[in-house]
Amino acid sequence: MHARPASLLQAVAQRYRSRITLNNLRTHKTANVRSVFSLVGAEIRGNDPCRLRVDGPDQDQAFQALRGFIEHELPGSDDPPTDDSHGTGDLILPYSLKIAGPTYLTGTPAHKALAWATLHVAQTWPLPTHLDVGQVDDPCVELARFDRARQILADRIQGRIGSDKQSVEAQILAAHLGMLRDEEFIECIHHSIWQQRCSPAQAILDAAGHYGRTLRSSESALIRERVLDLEDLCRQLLVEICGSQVIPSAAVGLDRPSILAVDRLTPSAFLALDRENLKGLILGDAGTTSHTIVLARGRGLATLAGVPIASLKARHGVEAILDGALGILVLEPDEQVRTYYRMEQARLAGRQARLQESVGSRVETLDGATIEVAANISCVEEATLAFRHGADGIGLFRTEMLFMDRDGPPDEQAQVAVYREVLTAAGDRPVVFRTLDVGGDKDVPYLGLDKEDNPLLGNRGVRVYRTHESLFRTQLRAMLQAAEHGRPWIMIPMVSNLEEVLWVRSVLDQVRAELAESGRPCPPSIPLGAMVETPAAALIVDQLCGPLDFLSIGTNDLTQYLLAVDRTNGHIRHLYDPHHPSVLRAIRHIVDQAHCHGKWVGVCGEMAADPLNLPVWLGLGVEEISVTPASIGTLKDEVQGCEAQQARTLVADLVGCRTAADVKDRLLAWRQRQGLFDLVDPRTVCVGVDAPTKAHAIKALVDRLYVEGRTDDPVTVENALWQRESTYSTGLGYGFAIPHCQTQALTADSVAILKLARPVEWDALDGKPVSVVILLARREGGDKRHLQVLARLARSLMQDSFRQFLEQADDPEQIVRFLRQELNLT
Amino acid sequence: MHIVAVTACPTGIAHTYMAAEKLEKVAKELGHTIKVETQGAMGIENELTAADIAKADVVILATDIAIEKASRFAGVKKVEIPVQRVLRDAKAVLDGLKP
Repeated sequence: MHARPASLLQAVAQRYRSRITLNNLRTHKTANVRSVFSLVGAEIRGNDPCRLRVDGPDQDQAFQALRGFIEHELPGSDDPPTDDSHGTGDLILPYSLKIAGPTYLTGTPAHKALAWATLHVAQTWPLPTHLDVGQVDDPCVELARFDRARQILADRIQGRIGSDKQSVEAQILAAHLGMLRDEEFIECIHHSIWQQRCSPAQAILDAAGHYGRTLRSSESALIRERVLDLEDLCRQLLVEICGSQVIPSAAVGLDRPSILAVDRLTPSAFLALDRENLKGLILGDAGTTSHTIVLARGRGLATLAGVPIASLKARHGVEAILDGALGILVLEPDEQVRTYYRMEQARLAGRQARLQESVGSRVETLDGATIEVAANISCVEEATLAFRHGADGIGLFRTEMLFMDRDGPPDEQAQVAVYREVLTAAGDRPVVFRTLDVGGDKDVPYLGLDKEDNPLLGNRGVRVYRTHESLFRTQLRAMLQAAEHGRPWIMIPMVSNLEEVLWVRSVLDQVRAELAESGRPCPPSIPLGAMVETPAAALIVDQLCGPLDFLSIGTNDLTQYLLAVDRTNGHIRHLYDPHHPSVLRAIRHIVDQAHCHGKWVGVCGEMAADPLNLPVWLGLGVEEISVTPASIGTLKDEVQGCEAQQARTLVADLVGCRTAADVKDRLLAWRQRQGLFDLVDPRTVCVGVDAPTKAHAIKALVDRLYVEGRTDDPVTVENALWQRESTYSTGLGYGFAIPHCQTQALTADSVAILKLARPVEWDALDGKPVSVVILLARREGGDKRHLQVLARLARSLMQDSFRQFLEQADDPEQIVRFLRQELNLT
Repeated sequence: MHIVAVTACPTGIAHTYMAAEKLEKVAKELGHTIKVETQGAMGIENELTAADIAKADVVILATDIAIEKASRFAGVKKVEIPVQRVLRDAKAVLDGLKP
């Protein structure tokens, strides 16, 4: 019996005044039924014989009530919360992973990367064993303080449970409430305060230590994990009694490479984590565009949201793999699952290496149009990372991160040092510094901003500057003084009227004049721009262009304000869609107006990072897109395969679309048309590969298509191939197999060849193992001429001489030359 | 013998054509004349006419799926086999034919 059923039993017992005990005849332990901890400590398992004893004035009623509860309700009350998260939904595993049979939990994929490390389930902080809060003068006063805190906390938990009694969260909260009302627990604390003259805080810590040891010694994992609930509860009690200053914040220490699982994480807490050891992030409660996730994406971290963290507590410390693309967390992988993920690591690294080939140079489209691909960063380390990924500049430096998670603002010289470092890293590439953007969901306590009912429509961005003018001036001074080290641009967030811009312009001019007067380094001018992220700013772009030098479209906020959707609200998150025709129309208006006035326009929201939207920027002719460093390679690669003229035609179509789905369909179709790949290519011919099974061989070929950018959805391609294999094996005899499929998931029609180092079983027509695998993959509805080539290839395979050549050749170039000639490819 | 045949596999991009090639090759080796219609992803190619079918001694339908224009073969003597059978042993298939 673990904490949740025990708390239900306790609740029944506490309705009566009688003393009630339960004696476990197997363990000879006797529990006070009015105490969850005591019940849990009795180690009661299914089918243990137990004796219930009730003594007191209302013993008959109490006995009847308990008997009824134990017979009818208790058996159904104990379903462990872990099962709740195993719902597979529409998750489709690739065939090669499915047959490996992994144990996993699902969540909402927030960043498609792969992490393989130890699972670190962050509790709150570990409780201290001792707190020095002074002497106790009057135990009566202290007892009252404790009881008041307990009552406040109980009311709060009750409030959170509300009317929702069935959810896992409500059940866990109910168990917390049970602990808070635990007779023995309360008695233990009262005793310390009264008899030992302990402070309430120390008494709580002692009780936490005592019951923690009891729970930890349990033979049941379910009970052991309740330690975290106990600590959670005691921490909340301590905060109630001592205030949050005395109780340290819930900082998470990672002492080895870890996948961190935590319910909620503020942006500043995220930034305080050990970067080296943080490999992946699992958030219980977060929208996929919350700022913490935005930050995690920027780091290229595998990230999963919406995973019930409570169900992971018992798995703290186990080996885990976070597969951000599939949206699963694999726990305790066996050797087969590890083999699959080693191939996955090779696939992702291969693609990365391929993309590196286009890093380091400005890119242009096939018809010679250019676009800069810059990076969004929050700190110096990210700037270095961005340039390693080939950034053409920094399109958004979120300076507010310097101001967060500290007791006061950084001073002028500290800021100069950071700005100088970023500018130096950038060299002759521009760096767009966004001035302090706080408020909204980014709280900086020392600024003393009021709590607001509607912070996203509240005092944020430029609106804060008038009341914190000296802070703003200091930041401008720091930026100007660092300017000699590179090419800084200054950008104002959250502009909604012209007055704000004019005011900032005048302050900037004053600050510059003061600096020049005092003989400090200061540039003669510095480009000033604004974020266009409110519909108001979008509609007055022509007027904003007067005092400004450039504009940058913040698509996240622009989308949420245009659509009136709070992107962190789980209930309406699905309405947040940057492909809504209104968003495209607004963006086109902004870019056209700015260009009319001869101004530079960039795009720095998440929309820019999705390769699907690339033709929008190319078609509109924006000067720069600024994205997370990890996305730069893919985007630069794709720019080079596009034609800007075609993109312009597409954009004209897109703004006429009536639905977001229609916009998305057209973008998808466009992207597939752009694939300029040869059907056969030496890069998709792999010789001497070692694959232990047919599943590995097929995955190896699909992975190769992915590395070469011929598919972005290897899972669908792999499963389509296996769908075909399920009708009958494609092993055609003579040691040859031709797995094949037609699917929309391909960017380009492809013939890929795998020559195996050792033959594998394929269930072939002649029963012999296979050593030459020829993959035929065609994009459904694609180029008809390629079908004719595939048909010729199929016919050629019936010729002995054709097969003999393929068996003997081991040079990819030679094989491709041969195929081109035999199949009449020019 | 005069043989006509239709080949059609599930995906229509590989086995249809391999089977056609194999039938043509083995028939030639055995001294038969053959015309093979393929029904693949490109649709019907080398289509059998009513005259082709009337003239034939035997019709082979090497198909894994329902074929187009099946009514052409109503009332005609025919051998119906899965595509794999042709690939596995076309010679046995042809040897077993009786005019």
